[in-house]
Amino acid sequence: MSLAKMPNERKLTLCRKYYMAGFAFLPFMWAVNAMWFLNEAFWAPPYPEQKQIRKYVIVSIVGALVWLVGLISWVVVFQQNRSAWGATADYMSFIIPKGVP
Amino acid sequence: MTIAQFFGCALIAFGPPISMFAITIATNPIRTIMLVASSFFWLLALLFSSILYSAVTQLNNALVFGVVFSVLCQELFRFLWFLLIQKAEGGLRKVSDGNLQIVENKHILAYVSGLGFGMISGAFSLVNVLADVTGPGTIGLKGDPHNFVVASAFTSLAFIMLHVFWGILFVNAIHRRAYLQLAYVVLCHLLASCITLMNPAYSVTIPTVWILTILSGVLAFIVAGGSPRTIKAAFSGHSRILQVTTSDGSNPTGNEGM
Amino acid sequence: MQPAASRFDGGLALDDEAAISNNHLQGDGQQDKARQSNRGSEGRVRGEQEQVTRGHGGTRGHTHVPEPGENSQSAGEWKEREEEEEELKYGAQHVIKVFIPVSLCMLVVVATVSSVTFYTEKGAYLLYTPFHEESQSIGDKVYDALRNALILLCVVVVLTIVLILLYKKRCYKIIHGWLLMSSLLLLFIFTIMYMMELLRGYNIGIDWITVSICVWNFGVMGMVSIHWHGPLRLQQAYLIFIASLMSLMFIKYLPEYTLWMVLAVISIWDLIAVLSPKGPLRILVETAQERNEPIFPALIYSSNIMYSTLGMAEPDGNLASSRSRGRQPVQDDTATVGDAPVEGQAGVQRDGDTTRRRMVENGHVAVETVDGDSGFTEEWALHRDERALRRREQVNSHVRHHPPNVEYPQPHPRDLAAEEEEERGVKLGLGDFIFYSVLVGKASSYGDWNTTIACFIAILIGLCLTLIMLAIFKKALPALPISIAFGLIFYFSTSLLVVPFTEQLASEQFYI
Repeated sequence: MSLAKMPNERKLTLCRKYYMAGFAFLPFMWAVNAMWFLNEAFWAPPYPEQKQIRKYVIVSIVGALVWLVGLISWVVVFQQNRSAWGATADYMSFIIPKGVP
Repeated sequence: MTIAQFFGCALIAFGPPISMFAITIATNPIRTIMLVASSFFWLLALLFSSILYSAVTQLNNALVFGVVFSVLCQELFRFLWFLLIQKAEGGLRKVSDGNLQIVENKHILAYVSGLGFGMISGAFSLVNVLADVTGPGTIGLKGDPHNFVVASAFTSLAFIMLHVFWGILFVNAIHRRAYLQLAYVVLCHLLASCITLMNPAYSVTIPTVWILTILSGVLAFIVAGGSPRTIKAAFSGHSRILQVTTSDGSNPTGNEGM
Repeated sequence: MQPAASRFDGGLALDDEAAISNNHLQGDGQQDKARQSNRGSEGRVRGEQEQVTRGHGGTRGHTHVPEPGENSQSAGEWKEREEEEEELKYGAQHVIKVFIPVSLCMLVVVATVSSVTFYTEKGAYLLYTPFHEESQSIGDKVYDALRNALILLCVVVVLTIVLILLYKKRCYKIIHGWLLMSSLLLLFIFTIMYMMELLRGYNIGIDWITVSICVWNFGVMGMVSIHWHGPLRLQQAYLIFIASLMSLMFIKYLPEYTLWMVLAVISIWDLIAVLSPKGPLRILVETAQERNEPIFPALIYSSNIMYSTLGMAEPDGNLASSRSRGRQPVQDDTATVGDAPVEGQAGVQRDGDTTRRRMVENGHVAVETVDGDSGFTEEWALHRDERALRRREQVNSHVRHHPPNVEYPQPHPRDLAAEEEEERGVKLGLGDFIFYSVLVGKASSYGDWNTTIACFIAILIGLCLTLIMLAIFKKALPALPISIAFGLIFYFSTSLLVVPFTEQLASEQFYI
């Protein structure tokens, strides 16, 4: 849907809803929110709600990045130590790769 | 080696045509549709020749016969495709969104349909070979040529380009009733295909095919109104010269040059 | 989204009726008359919202003054002519806009089928296909396949009728629940299965924590963007993904001959259901148009329509003052019924002239039912096709020329350009996506790329022809038959006749 045709208060509501939803372990939602409203928040001609949208967008970006970094580091740690952790790691594994120690 | 060879050969054969497609065709919806439609015509041609091939498959030299017949069939379908475009010109004119270039400049359409023919024929001749390259098997164990795949890739590229040039020459020949050119296209196609019958003598076939390609390319370039001046203009970035559109207007080869 | 008070403006419904009523190809004059009368009535109804003063002679960028009930027949006639031009003009772009997602969907399916063996292994079959083609003789196999396909067809027909009954009785809650459930299932369970097979195929070990976070995020975002609001591209991507998951399921869980038979049978059913005067899908479409509702939310791929789902919470009247023509949401993807937006949006058109535009709509809804059975939940997509030739109001906008009139913030030029791009949309049902991809995917599962390419090209050409026919006949047409027929013809002829020839050529390195 095109944001351009949305009245400002709706944009704000939408942005806020996405932002709130992101707290339910939904960093992807934050990422989408950030991407979607990025232009609206920073480059669109100014309007009253823009400030709040900008705030939400910034927090969303930061949140999404934190999640991304966290997730990547967890995956790296897990991959490094999978064999060392033994049964615990096997228990946690969704797929246990064949032929890889 | 397998993956590297796969990508190398795929890029040799399909790199240039795909970049031509991306630069000159993909941005324009009508050209894209024309490309797909012309490849469909090539498929029809192949289908007909395959039907005949399967009918005569008991013959001794069925394959040679199949090749020759298929070449003729392709040229026939090229002609039918041309007729279809002629018929559909009114529709095209409407569809082309004020941008009448594709209708008025026959060479663009010729180039597009030539590329369509070329890409699909290149795909049909090479894709399965490429798919096998990645597979568990390998080539050249039983005294077969080692450079089978690379040679195939180069020849495919030559044929793709040849189809582009033939497309341009063919359409131009019909428009100007230059039957010599028409004969040249058909004979050149026959000749190129028959030369590949000598494979795997690559040292003979590949240079010959490429010489034919370059010859056809130069001819197509000239026919499309190209000259050293247009090349210079194309490189110096004055695309204005490319839009000199009389009936023999701009040069598709110029597009490649850019 | 606020429940809108005035949901429908009546314009579109009549519009669509006009499209439908042109069903039989009559002489031109007759048809025109029919159209004109439709135009007239439409004008009357729509009157309050939009009016067009025609000064189409020389100038472009006419202004439009809202002026009730002035739509005359001659105006209709003019519109008609202009409309046709428009349609052809933008035809090529539309075709491409359909080509791209269809190709992407096929690409996902083909890539998966040829890299993960799971989807080509035989074994488990759907409940609906009790005959497993285990006999050796081809005749028996075909017989089994035929019976399977007929059983499937019966399921499809029954579910279609159930859906229509529900729709006729306005049980929107049930339908939406149905759709929500099925997309939930696809987005979570089937995604997990898909991930598992993909990871297993590439032998990547991964832990439950990562997987659950990923799937949770992916699924919720999918639900939100499909059933609520989300960026258009994202929604399109999700719909394509869902369609490819479904077609992978078909490829995996249908026996070989049954699959080909199902494709043929479904295409024929499609033809009947859309074209016959009492065809269920036609009834469905017509009912939807009477009520001036989107056919069904979700599970229709639309190349640009999303913006119109975003209702502007303003009453039409306000907007109409600044715009000549109200724009009706052709489709809204909101999940809940009370949600239908009010529309009256301005669109921007290329050179700022007013035209009505006929929208080629190719709705095709896939509805899934859920069946708990045999160890895991099996998904069944009952597809239905709805095609409506929709006319869409094209709005003219002198927004550019008269910025002060516009009540919502003036979009800056970039947005205008984007809108321009988005202005006209084509919709294709996910069912079409699914069955196209099934055909190509199944063709690629035998490992021969020539056949795959041939099927791909054939389907694209079929699709192209369907769109051309839509433009010519201006009536609702099913999208499956031509494409699938081409696809089947090319599949069988290529694998039987062409492949031996090309194999021979490739191995001898003969070029043609």
